[in-house]
Order: sequence, then structure tokens, then C-alpha cells
Amino acid sequence: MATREAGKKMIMLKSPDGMEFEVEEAVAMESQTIRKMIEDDCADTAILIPNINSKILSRVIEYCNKHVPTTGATGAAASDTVAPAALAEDLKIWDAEFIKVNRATRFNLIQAASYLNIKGLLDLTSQTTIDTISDNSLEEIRSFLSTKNDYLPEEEQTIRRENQWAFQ
Amino acid sequence: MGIHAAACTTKQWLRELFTPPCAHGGSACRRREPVFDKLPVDIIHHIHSLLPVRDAARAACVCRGFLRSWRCYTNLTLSVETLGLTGKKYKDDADIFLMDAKILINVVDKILRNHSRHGMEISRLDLELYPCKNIDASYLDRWLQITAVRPGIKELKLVLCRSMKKEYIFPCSVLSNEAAASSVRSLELHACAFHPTTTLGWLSRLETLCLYRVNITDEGLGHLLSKSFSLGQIDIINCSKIICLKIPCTLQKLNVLKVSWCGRLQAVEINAPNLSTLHFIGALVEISVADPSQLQDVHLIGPSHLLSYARAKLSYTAPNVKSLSLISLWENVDIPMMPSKFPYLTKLTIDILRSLQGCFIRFDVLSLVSFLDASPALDSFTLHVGQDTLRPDDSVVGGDNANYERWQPQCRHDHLRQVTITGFCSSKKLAQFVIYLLESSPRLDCLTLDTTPGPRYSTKCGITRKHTSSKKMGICCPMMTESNIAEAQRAVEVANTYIAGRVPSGVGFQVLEPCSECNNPKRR
Repeated sequence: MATREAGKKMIMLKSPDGMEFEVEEAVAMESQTIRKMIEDDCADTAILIPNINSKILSRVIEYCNKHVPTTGATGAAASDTVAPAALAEDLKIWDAEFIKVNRATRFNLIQAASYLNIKGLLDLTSQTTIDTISDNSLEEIRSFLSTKNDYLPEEEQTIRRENQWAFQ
Repeated sequence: MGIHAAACTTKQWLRELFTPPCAHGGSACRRREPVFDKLPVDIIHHIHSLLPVRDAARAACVCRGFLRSWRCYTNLTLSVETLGLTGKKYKDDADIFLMDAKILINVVDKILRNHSRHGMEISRLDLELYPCKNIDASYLDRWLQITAVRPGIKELKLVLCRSMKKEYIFPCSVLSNEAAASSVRSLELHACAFHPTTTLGWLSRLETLCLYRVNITDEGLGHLLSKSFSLGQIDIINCSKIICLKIPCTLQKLNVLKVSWCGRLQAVEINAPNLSTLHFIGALVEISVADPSQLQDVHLIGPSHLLSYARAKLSYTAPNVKSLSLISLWENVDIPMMPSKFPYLTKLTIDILRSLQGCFIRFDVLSLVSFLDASPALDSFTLHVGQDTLRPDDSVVGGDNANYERWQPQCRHDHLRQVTITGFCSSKKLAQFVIYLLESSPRLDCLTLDTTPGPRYSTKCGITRKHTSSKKMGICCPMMTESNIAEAQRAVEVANTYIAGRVPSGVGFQVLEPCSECNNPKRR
């Protein structure tokens, strides 16, 4: 932890399929899970990230890289010319592009965001899922989520009756 | 048409996104895998909990996984918006009041009955019933008593219509139940009567309290506060029955107190020992603070003479104040010089506005020096002058230094590093004030003169663009009128002619003007 103030300390992240990613500590610490590991001094060598394959991990790192707050000299210079509102707008557009991935990737990203505890990424991926649920028919939602109707007919009738107001 | 087209594309895009590549056939196609079902239960719960209540109820009909989530959907925000009643039968507020509000009431009733039947816990209930002028009190009582306010409830918000046919009296009995009372962390009531008595249970976890247009007396509030010793923040808005607001010393954790527009209020007595932030909006009253040692952040908005009041009283009411924000809506009295000080004040923000259209205030901007003189530790000073606030005969800058002589620096502001003036205009006295600041602040780092109303006063404003042609900064400000822009141009001229030359070389000096987009008359 002695080199933390240097701001450029690098951390090695390892995916279970054997790929290694060298990232700046500040970027890795966008993940609260990794932050805790670093703060508890468990991060001397490489950190193994279980359950997240290299393809997903590289996307997660891409997200953290973009979202790590710019601080220090460069940050101050940037805020002179670009208002925070403009920066936020820029990030929003970037996020919208970032999340244009197929369903499986997105569910994997949700899982990764949840495990690594990256609130922004979890919100983004969850929100995208929510957008597919809002204002669609049940069949559409099932097909979007690729899930099955596992109700018995009479069960479905009961639950539909109970929530009839939501379909009016 | 455009919106419809956009919606279609989004839908198509979503469909493509969610249709597996093999959906159109092909021999190498794997079977459709229900990927969503494989997500851990807590993630499914999390996603479901983010859905507005109507979508959450619909999703419950999709599959058992979501039904399980629906059974633990504990944060109920029930409003015209979340129930999907907007844009269908109701077009705007006016229509809402004309329509029979039975639909909203019926739906709320169904949901709460359903929750109650399944024994579902509610941890947050936000009942936004402002479109309903006429709700039978028995409904509200039942919703609160039987379904909502039970052990486990953490946040309760009840928003009723301001012009209810019959004022609803919040049933204090729901808070007599000790288990329920002690689980509430946040209580917010709008437009009802609330008469707490000694039978109130201990609200031992209540951290935030907000009362808006609530008919509550001094005595009732006294009972409520005496049972709520964990309060960290109190917000009282528009409660016109309160005459003397007494904050008892038992509120050891109270950090923030906000009192706004309480029409008949005459005095505020603060005995809570750890208050750090005080916001007060409205006609000035006697504010006493028994132990002001922790009070560091004070924000006052007042209709008249606010600045002289603050200058005279605050050094006693809040002697340790570090950050002070004053918004004066009508200042016609100059601020006198006084011996009292604000020894710890580092950040001072003063806004001078006018509440009446077409009238200019009679206020000598130079008298603001009284505040600077009283604040030896001041680091940052921000002044905002509202558009058309200073008299035009005060404008026009000449070579006359007669007035300025009075303000030859008598004191030095040794710590002042940042000065920002928004709404900078061509008023002569304002220019003199800036020159005074330049000459009496040896450690000034940065002086910004913003000729637009600035980001705080125009939400659409404030996108700063650097012009490619000149090095000047431009600020987009669509709300400025043509005469405002003409005045801004005069102000820029004043800044360049009379001030720029006096800025020492080490000081960052910036004049912000409306961007060329706004400056261009063809734009309108």
C-alpha cells in the first residue's frame, strides 16, 4: 500500500481461462470487491477472478477504465473546458454503445458486475434488462429473457387475476 | 412520427439483441438456453426490485422466478406514474383533478390488500395521492393501519392533495404500536393534519422527518420530537400552525435543520447540541442557538433586509460558521460596518435578487465590504447579481473616482483566493467593488466575472464552450433576453476597459460571456 499515492500502481487480474490483464490500481478499484482485496493487502501478486471468463473480464475492465474518475492535474485542466454536465452526457452515450451486446454477454456482465460489486455497471446492465420488460406483452418478455412459462394454467389464471390492474 | 420511428427501431434492436443467433433455424443451432433463469436469485430480485410497481406486477405473471421476487417486492411507490395511469386517462394535472380519482384509489387498494393477504412486508411505502381531491379517510386509515405501518416499515411517505375536500388527519395510533414506531427511519407527510400526543410510540430509529403543508401545532411537534431522539435531519416546509419552533436538546444526533416558508413562525429555538447545517427560508424571525459550536453551514433566503440581518445577528447565532450562503430577495438597506466578526468563515456566497418585476433595488453593492471585513479567514467569495436588479442610472462607467475614494482598502483580505461574480453587469459600483477586491486581496488566485446568470440560475445554461476563433469562453444561455445580452456585452466592455488592466499578473482572470450562439440575433 506504500505506493498508493504514486497513483500508477499496477494490478494483475487473472481470468479462470488463464488470461492476465494488467490494469491500473485505480481502475481495478472501481470494483468494490477488488478494492477490499487490495485494502486487505491480498493483492500482492495476481488476483484470480473466478467465474468470469477473459472475454467478459476484458469488457468489465473497459467499462472501469472509462468510468474511473479523472483526478489530479489532468482532471482539473479538463474541467476548465468541459463542464461536468457535458462529461456526464459523454459517459451516457458511451454507456449506451457499450451495452449493445448480445443477451448472453449482457447476463454475464450482470453476473460479473454483481460479483465484482461495480454499482454503475450493475445499474447499467440491470436497467437495460428492465427496459426490455417495461411495456411489453408477457410473451415478448419471455422471449426477450428466453425464459419459459412455468406456471400451471390455473396458477397462471390466479396470478393474472390478482394483478389484473397492471394489464389495464 | 419521429418518436414512433425511434421507438420502433429500439424495439427491433432489442428483439435482435434478445433473439439468439440460432432462432432462425440452422442445423448447428443449439437449443435455446434460458440464460436469465441461470442468474443467481438475488440478482433476479435486484432487477425485479428496480421495476416500477406496474411492471413488477406484470413481470410476476411471466414465470415463478419473478413471482418469488414480487412476493418480496417491499418498496412500494404508488403514484399515477408508477401505476401507469398517466397518458391514458389523465393528460395533465388539470384533467387529473377533474376526473374521478377512483381508479387510482382502487388500484392502490388492490395492491395493498394483495400485499396484506400474502403477508408481504412493506419496507417503504410512498403513497403519492396528490391527484385525488376526495379520498374517504377510512381508505387511508385502513391502508396505513392494517397494511403499511407494521413492524418492518422503514420509510413512509404520504402525499395528499393540497385542496382535499376534507383535511385528512394522520392516524397517530399507527405510530403508537411500539414495534412499528421503532422501525420507521424516515417519515414524510404532505398536506394533512398530524396531532401527535403522549401516546406516540418511541420513534427510536427515525432519522429523517419532513413535514410539508402539515397542520401541526407547536405542542404536537413537541410530542413528536420528544419521541424521536435519533433524528439527523428535520425539514419543515409551509407548516403555518407553527408559531415557535423548539428543537429540544434531546436531539443529540440532529445535524441538519431546514425550515422554509412557515408563514406564522415567530421564533426558532435550537437546543440540539450538534447541529451543523441550518437552512432558513422566509420572513426573518428570531433564531436562537443554545450551543452553536458545531454550526458550520448556514443558508438563508429572505424576502427583505436579509443581508443586514445576517451581518448583525449571525456572528452571535453562528459564530463558528464556515460556509455561509445568503440569498436576498429584496435588499433596500445598505449593510453597516460593524465590529463583530466571522472568524472561521471560509466560503461566502451572496445572491442579490429582486422579487418584483420592473423595480430596481436601492442597495449599495459596496456595502458588501462589511462582510469581507468581518471575515479574516475568507477563502472563496461568490456574488450573484440577478438580471435587471441594479438601477440603470447606476450603470455607465466613467473616469469619476469620487465614490471609489471612500473604498480605498482599509483592511486586507489576506486569505481570499477565489472571487466569482455571476450576473456581472455594467454597474459602476460593482466595477468599483471588483477593483477594491483586487487591490485589497494580495493572495488572490482567480477572479471570474461571469456576465451570464450562471449555472445556478439557468438549468439549461452552463455548458461552457471554448471558442475556436478567440480564446474567450462562451456560455450557452438560452434564457437570456436580447436586452440581457446587450447588457452582458456592455459588462464585458467594462471588465476589459476598467478591470483587466488592474489585475496583477499572477491572478487568473476570466470574463465569461454568452456564447456566440446566444449573441447572434439571427438565432431568435
